[in-house]
This record gives sequence, C-alpha cells and structure tokens, in this order.
Amino acid sequence: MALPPRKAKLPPQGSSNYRGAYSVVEVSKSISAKPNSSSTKARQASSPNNQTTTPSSSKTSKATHSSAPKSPANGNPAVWPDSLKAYVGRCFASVGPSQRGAMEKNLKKVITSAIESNNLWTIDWDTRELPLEGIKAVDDGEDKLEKLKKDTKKRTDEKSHAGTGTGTMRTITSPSSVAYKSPSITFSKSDQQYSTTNEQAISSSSKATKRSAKWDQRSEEPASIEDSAKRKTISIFADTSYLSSSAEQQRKEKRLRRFDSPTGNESTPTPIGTPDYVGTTFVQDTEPEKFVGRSIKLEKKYLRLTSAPDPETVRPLHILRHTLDLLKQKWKSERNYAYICDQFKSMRQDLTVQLIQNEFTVNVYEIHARIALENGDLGEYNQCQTQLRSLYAMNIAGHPNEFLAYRILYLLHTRNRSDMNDLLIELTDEQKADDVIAHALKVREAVTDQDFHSLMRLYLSAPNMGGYIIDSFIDRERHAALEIICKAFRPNVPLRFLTDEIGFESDKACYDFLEKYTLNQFIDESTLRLRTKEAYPTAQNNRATAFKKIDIKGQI
Amino acid sequence: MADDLDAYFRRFQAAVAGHWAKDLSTLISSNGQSLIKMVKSLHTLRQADTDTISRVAHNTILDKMWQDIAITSWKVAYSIHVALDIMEAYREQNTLTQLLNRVAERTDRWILPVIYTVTQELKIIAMEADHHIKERILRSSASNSEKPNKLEEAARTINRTLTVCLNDRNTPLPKSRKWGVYFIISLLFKIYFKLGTISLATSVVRVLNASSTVGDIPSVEEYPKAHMVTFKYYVGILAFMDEEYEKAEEHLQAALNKCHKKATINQELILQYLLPTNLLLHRRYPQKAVWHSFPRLQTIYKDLFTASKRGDMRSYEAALAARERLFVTRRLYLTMLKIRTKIVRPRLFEQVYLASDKSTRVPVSAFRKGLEFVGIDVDDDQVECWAAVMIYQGQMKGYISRERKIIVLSNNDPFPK
Repeated sequence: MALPPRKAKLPPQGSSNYRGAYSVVEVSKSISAKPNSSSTKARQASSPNNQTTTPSSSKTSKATHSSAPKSPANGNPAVWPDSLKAYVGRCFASVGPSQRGAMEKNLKKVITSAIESNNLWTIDWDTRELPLEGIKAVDDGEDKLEKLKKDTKKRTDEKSHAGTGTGTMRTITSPSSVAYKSPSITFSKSDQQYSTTNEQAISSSSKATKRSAKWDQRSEEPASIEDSAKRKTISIFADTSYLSSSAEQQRKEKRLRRFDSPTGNESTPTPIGTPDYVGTTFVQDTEPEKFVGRSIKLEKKYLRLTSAPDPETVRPLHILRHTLDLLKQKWKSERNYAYICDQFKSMRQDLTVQLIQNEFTVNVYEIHARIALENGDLGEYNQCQTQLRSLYAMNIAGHPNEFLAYRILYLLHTRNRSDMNDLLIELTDEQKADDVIAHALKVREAVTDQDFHSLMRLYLSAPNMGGYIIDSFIDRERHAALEIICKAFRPNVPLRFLTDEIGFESDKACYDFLEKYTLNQFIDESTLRLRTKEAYPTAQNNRATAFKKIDIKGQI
Repeated sequence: MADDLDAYFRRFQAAVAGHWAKDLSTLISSNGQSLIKMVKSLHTLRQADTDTISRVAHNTILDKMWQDIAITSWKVAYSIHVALDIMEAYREQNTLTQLLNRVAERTDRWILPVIYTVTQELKIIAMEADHHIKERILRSSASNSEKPNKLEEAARTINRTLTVCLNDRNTPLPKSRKWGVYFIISLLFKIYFKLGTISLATSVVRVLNASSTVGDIPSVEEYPKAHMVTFKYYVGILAFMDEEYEKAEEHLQAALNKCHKKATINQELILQYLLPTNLLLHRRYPQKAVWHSFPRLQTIYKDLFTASKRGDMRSYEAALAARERLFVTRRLYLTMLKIRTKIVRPRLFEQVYLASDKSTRVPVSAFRKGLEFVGIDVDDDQVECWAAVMIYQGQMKGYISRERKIIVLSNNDPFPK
C-alpha cells in the first residue's frame, strides 16, 4: 500500500520519467536548431504582444498594454543570440539552488531591458557581468521599466513568453522555477485576470507536474512541460489570429500527440519553417527528483489533494519535526481529537507527497495510530497500520511488534479469518516469543475457543493500547459469554461472578451493562443473582444481534 | 537443418489447419522431442539462423499469429535446451502464452489442449525463473533490481487465458472454450496457493460464480474428472480455511470419490484436510487401512488422533507442538487447535466422569485435578468456563451449579457421540 498512494498523489511522476530522458538532448538541439526556426519563431513570438485584439490581451491591464507594444519594437527579438543563452546558463550555474529565484528575477530585468533598448543583439553577452547583486545588480534597468516590470511580469510570464525576449529566456531558464522557486512571482494568482479557462489550463497543468521543487537541485535543463502547457494555452486563447494556419493546426496536433508516447518527441522533429518554438520538444525535466515543500507554518488543515501538491503549502521535514513536537504538546494539554487527527492527517500527507520514509515517518504514523486507538477511531488507526506495515517491511526502525499485536487484535475485531491465517503463517518464532504478540495470540485463541474466562483476564491485562482495540469487540464477546453462562449454569449465578466473567471492573458497571440489554429483569434484587434459565432467551437474542452487525472496518 | 526446419513448420501448419490439438501441443511444447532435437543442432543462435527460421516459418505457416507462435515456441526451446537461459525462456514463454490467448479468442474448443500445455509450462518455467532469481540474489547478497515475481506475472497472463475461456459468447456450448474454464482455474489455484495469495484464489471463485449465475458455464460435474477433482480439492481447502467445515467436507469428499484410484498422492492431499474435518464434525476416526495406505498421513496425524480419542491432552499438546510449523504452513493449525478444544478436552472430561464411576454429580475440583494430571494447571473458574462452553456446544449434557461447585451430568449419555 505504501507505493500506490505515492503514485496516486503524484500522478505525473511516472510519466515524467521517460520524457525526462530526452530533455538534455533536446536542450542542445533547441539551441543549435535556432537559426532554422528563427523566422517562424519570431512570427509566433511577436504576435501575442501585437495582438491587442486577441481576447486575452484585451483583458489585460493598461500597464500591460503600454509595455506590450514595446517588445515588438525590437524587430524579431524572439530569437536570442547564442551568447545570451550561454550567459543565462552561466548565471544559473553561478548560484546555488536557493538563489535561483533571485537570479531569475535579475536576469529577467537584464534581458527585458536589453530588449526594450533594442540591444539584445548588440550587447556582448560573453563578457557581460553576471547580475549577482540581486536586484541592485541590474545595471541596464530603467526606472520606468522597473515600474512596469511588476505589471508586465504577469503577462510576460504567462502569456508572451514565446513572444518577448523574456519568454524565450524562460525557455532556457525554466519557467517553472519562476512559478515555484521564488514566492514573489506567482502567476498562478496573477494570471487570474487573464481568462478563466486559460487560467484553469495553466494552473492545472503546471500543478499537475512534478518539476516544482526539482529546481532546487537542477541547473541547466529547461522545464518544458510548463512551457508546452503554457504554449498550449496560448494557442487556445489566441487561435483567432496568429495560430490559425493549417500548419499551425498540424503543429498543435503534433504537439498534443507528443505526450502520448515516450517516442513522441523523437518522432516529431522540429520541422523547418514551422513555428516550432525551441522549447516544445523537450517535454519534461530529467530524473524525478524529490519534491520538497517550502511552507514554514507548523499547523495545517488537512485537505484532500485533488491535484499535484503545491510546495508553498507543504512543510519540509525539519518543519514537520517541530510540528510533531507541537502536536504532542497540544494533545497532552488540550486532548482535542478532532483537531489532532486533522493535523496528523495533513502531516502524513506532507510526508507522503515528499516521499519521506524514515524513522520520523514511522514515528508520526505510530503516534497517530495510538491516538486514534485511544479515541476508538479504528478507521484512522487502520490507515496508519497499513502504512506502518510497509514501512516496517522496509526495515525502518519503530515498534513493529507492538503494531503486529494490534493487527492481530484488529483482525479479531473484523473477524477476518483468511488474513489471520496469512499472518500466522508469517509469524516467526522470535515474534511469537514477544510478550505483546504472545498476549494478542492468546486473545485470538480465547476468542475462537469462546473461552470467556481467559479472554476477560487478557482484556483487563492488555498491554499498550491493545485494550482499546479489544474494546471494539468486547461487548460482542460479552454477549456470547452471557449466552453460554445462561445455558450452562443452573439455577442462578451471582452478579459478582458475572462481573468477573464478562470483564467489568465493578458490579455497578456490570449491572449497567445488563440493564442496557434488559437482562437486569432476571436479577433477584435481594440476592443479586441472575436466574439463568429465564434469562437465556434474552441472552440468545442479544448475542445474535451483536454478531449480526456488519463490520464496516471500524470506521466512526 | 533447413530440411528439418521445413518439416517441422509443415507439421505445425498441418496441425493448425487440421485442428489437431494433440500434435500441435507436442510441437509447441518446449519439451517436445522434435523441437528439442532441432534446437540442439544449433550451438549458437546467430542472426542468420533466426532469419532462416523466420523465413521458413513465414513460408510454411499461413497465419501471421501462428507464425509468431511457432517462432516463439522455438525460442523458448532454444533458451532452455541450448542457451540455458531460464530468464529468456520465461520471457518467451510468457509471450507465447499471450500470443496464444489472442489466437484463442477467434477459435473454439479444439485449441484447449494446446492452451493447457502452454499455460502449464509457463507456470513451471516461471517457477524456475523465480528460483533462479532467488539464488542470484542470495549469491550476490545485493538486492538486485529484479524481484522473483515471475510466477505472479505468469498468473496474470493465465488469468487472461481464463477470461478468454469464460467469455466465449459466439460458439455453441459443445464447441465452446468454456470447457477450458476449470482446468485454468485449477492451475491458477495452484499458483495462488504457491504464492500464498489466497485472496486471489477466492476472487477467482467469485468471478466464476458470477459467470455461472449468468447460466452459461456448465456445472463442474460435466467436466473431465481430472478438472473436477482438482477444482473441488481447492474449493474444499478454501472453505476449510474459512472454518466452513460442512462445505469443506462436501467438496473434499466429492474430490476424493472421483479421484483416480492410482493417484495416491492426490488422495493423500485430499485426506490431509478431510481427516481433521471428519474428526471435528463427526468425531470420526480413520480406519487402520487408511494409515496403512498413506504412511505420511500416519506420521502427521496418528499420534494426534490417538491422543484425542483418549482425551490425552498432554500427548496431544506435545504432538501438536512438534508439528506446529507444518500445520501452520499448510493452514491446518487453527483447525488442530479447534480439535483440541472441541474434541480432546471433552474426552478428558469424559475420562474424569468414567473414573468417578459414572457419577452424575462431579465436583468441579475433580475435573480440575484431571486437568492437572495431564499438566494443565488452572483454577476452578477456568474449569467451569470450559465446562460451560462444552455444555453450550452440546459436547456435554448437564449443568453447572455455581453454588455447590459441582457439575450435574445427564443420566442419559452425558458425553454424546
């Protein structure tokens, strides 16, 4: 069970692998292929900004409008000098993963201004200083541009990445890094002003991919799924004007097909003369690297994921450690199960999406399982138990014997004979020798033998949280015991005896139980003895009812 | 060589065209003599050879799929007998089965013997392959990427074969592939039991029941005895494991009745489950002749049965402990524990009753001492509890007087048979 959920929660992960294999090759291809495709690219590239009549740009803000016409003024800037590409590469190579967002910003400024000033092809990128000073390092930036940048960013990021130099740059420098890397640039929010459908397409397709946190580790490779996703978006919202040629249609279809099979991008060589934008063929990042969240909030409400997780809301391991401490403390002081369960679920989710499987994970599941047991929440317990089984199978340290014992008891609760059989077959001698497991096995035997005398003693002496699981089926067994007692003992039995034999700690508790199930009417108030013969039919009924109930795996 | 090849494929084509399943099975089997002889004449499978084989196959066999089948079976035999590459043999045999599944979809009952041969060999080769992988893992002590899951994979392919057999909607019943259903299910049972994935076996039964209720699968009694016996045997065990002993008895007994006289191993397997079932349900002990014919069953059960007859709890416990591993792996253990409480313990109480001159009023302490005598040290409350369960289940007639600390037994047959 451990592996499937991972897949389930990160659906694109698997499919990304094969695509990734091609991306490195494609990077070089895209760079070398530049001269061929330049003119067509330019056509496509410049158009989004020219097309103030397209539905999308008509919706954009005034600021965007004012900046948009500027880019095409560069002529055909969509194609970059090779030296610029190399420059960008150097820039990113020069910074650590944590700096990439800042670098991205800087570069964008540098390049935007180069385009604005029509210097894209004149600047000697080979000798140009790297913009290492962060925002201060931007030397070419004009004030006006600085101001505009904020407005245009959304546009350039989202929409005209294929048109303006910024867009093209992002092909190389990984647009997704903008999306995920630097919290300051978040187009998933800003692009709302675009159009709802496009926004949907963008956010869902970008969320649906895994690249996200990979950017912490990677350097050169472009992330193109987002590119292509965005490009798809472009073709959706701008199809009236510049993407309407049949060649364009074919290209779009081809592009769609490319996602169908691993060989897709090989079978779709960039045709000369079609506006196949450099990025289109590299579909995916390389190796599926670890997803690492960036949230630093300790608490988080559990929300079932319906799309790929957003690293902004996922807490990394070191934060989760603090979370666990906090939750333990809160549980001790507040004992609010609804809250604690919710918090643990979100923690488990964060662990799952980040594929964290270590002793901490085991610890979280164990604690949650215990708390769930303590609160009679067998459904939640069972989820933890399932995960724990596979974690223990990976030889991660924890308390496997304790939880194996719980599992035996749980199988008694659900009366799952075949699983119990399987479990017994796998038991080793060492496991059988373990006190806690031995106890659970004795409970099993007592239950199958209907040996209520032993069962009740085992119940009252159950180690750890075992008693809580037995709680869930003890009433059933009490009814069975009462039926047997009423059948076998004559003429009566003292209440004291019943208290012992059906496992209550006081006569009062026992009497309450009998009262609840209308057996108290057969008790002589003076002698406090149960007239067994008269009580037998009622006891029979009670038992039948108790065993008829359909188990729903202990959900509450 | 080329002539042999030619002859081989000609016979193959003739068998396909004439629906001679038996001939075809021999030709396709990686254990078939003609195939072995031919692949052994090759020491290395060079490109030229494979080309020749493909060319000859294409020239002599009309149907494309059958061509592939012929070539694949050729490759299996080559991997087994010449290249000694069991992994490759497994891959090819799996492909072969898949190809056959597809061909089977457009044919009818005649193909079943071929299917039986190929699926059975797939199971054997897959087991060999798993064995090979396990050894390799042991030797290198490193966790290789490859897992011994070939039999599991093979089961999936064979499951597909089952679907192909179940879903024959076009041919009339006498010629239907449905006649292959019970053979394939039995083969799957064997695999699932080997893999220990009993739940999959149960789900196959469910699939079958679902198809049967639609009304188009003939009852198992109409199938060849061999299919029926294997099927009933496994369904019997499944019921046995679910502690549905009446059902288990019915199926196991039916399997035993139809089992071939000389198939002693199969009889032994059936009896292994049937004997404890009979003991538990009817307190029926096997005759001496049974022990005589099945010495292995005697080794397993005789001591236990004797002890249970005498109510000798101590010997029973000892014999059970000595065989615990065996019983657990064969899924007999829980039943043997049940026999202990439902059969052996009442016998022990009966012994106490007999020892007290069949008195109908026996002090609880007398039973306690009886238990103590065989090494079971418990208090009076525990004795009363056990006695109560026996009375409740009808193994003992009477009642317990809590006040007077005695068990009052029925005058008439207090320990009914």
